Amino acid sequence: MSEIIEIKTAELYVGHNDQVIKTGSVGSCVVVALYDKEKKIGGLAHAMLPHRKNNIIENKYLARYVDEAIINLLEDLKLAGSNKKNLVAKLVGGASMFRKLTEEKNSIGTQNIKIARYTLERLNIPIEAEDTGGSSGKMVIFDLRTGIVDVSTAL
Amino acid sequence: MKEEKEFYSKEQVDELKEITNIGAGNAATALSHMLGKKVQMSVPESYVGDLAEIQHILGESEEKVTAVFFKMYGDVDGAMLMIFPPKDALNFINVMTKNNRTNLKELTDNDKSSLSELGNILLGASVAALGRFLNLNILHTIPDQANDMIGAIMDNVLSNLNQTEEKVLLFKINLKLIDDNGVGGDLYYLFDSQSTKRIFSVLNTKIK
Repeated sequence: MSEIIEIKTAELYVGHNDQVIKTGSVGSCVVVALYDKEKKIGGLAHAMLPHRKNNIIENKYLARYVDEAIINLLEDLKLAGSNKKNLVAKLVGGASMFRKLTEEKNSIGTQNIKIARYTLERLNIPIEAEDTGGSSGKMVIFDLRTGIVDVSTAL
Repeated sequence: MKEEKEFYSKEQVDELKEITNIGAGNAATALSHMLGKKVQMSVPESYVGDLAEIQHILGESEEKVTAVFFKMYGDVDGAMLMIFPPKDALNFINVMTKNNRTNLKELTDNDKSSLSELGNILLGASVAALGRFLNLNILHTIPDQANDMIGAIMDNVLSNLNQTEEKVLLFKINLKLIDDNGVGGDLYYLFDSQSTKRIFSVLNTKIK
């Protein structure tokens, strides 16, 4: 049995081959999984908001903002011995549940996805798969032995 | 005292709790009148924290719920939620529409709309009371509804509220019908930091 690591909102975790990273109740948040197939190292970040809007630097949460979360995840993966060239990304989340109040194109979820795609593109990390948008919350299980990201809903 | 206060004092939170209580009391009365049943109301629980902290306290659960959501605007920015366990939501819908649905999947648009309307009446009553008490003009949007994991719903609501590290205030009150095996739901009131400051300044002038 592999070890199960559970992360909360605004947290990230980088692990190695026999671990499974799990995170629950992803609504408008976006979950970014980066995986190194060669070394079987991977990391998962559960980010809440698109980007920082003030100058307060706090180290309490490494994955509060999508752009910073991806950069911090990449740094941690490098420290763990991964090469950026081998990394692929998967994105989950960015849902908009309350459609009457915010149009989908302006919602926080949509902004989160946009920033995630943009940041990954700037870093030259290809996005291998996405399960984003829509209106339902998701649970994510990232198996570091295979790099498979398992997504389920509550419905 | 140039420094901006990040935390609210216990007294301040208590004051606001009391005000929320007034609002929720009106919601409870409205519910009682509407259904002709006795309603029990809990003491408000309060939480202060930034978005991630609040999310950790309330939102890491994968429990499935039915939520009716409103945004407050006008003089106060915030959000209100009514959260029901799915079977209680069904129960309320059945009482109001005189149907006998057993599964959330069977619900018609009309059924769902009746639950939104329940939220509208209850939370509308409490907003009106809050506004009157504080002499503030508080408006709210039309209700919206979602069935999902409580965590996913909370993160949607919280990230819409404000997008900084500022602290927000949240109050949670439980309403329960006494004679129906404890059918009930939770009311959530969320105020962003600007609004919290505004409410306190009104309170200070009112008391002195």
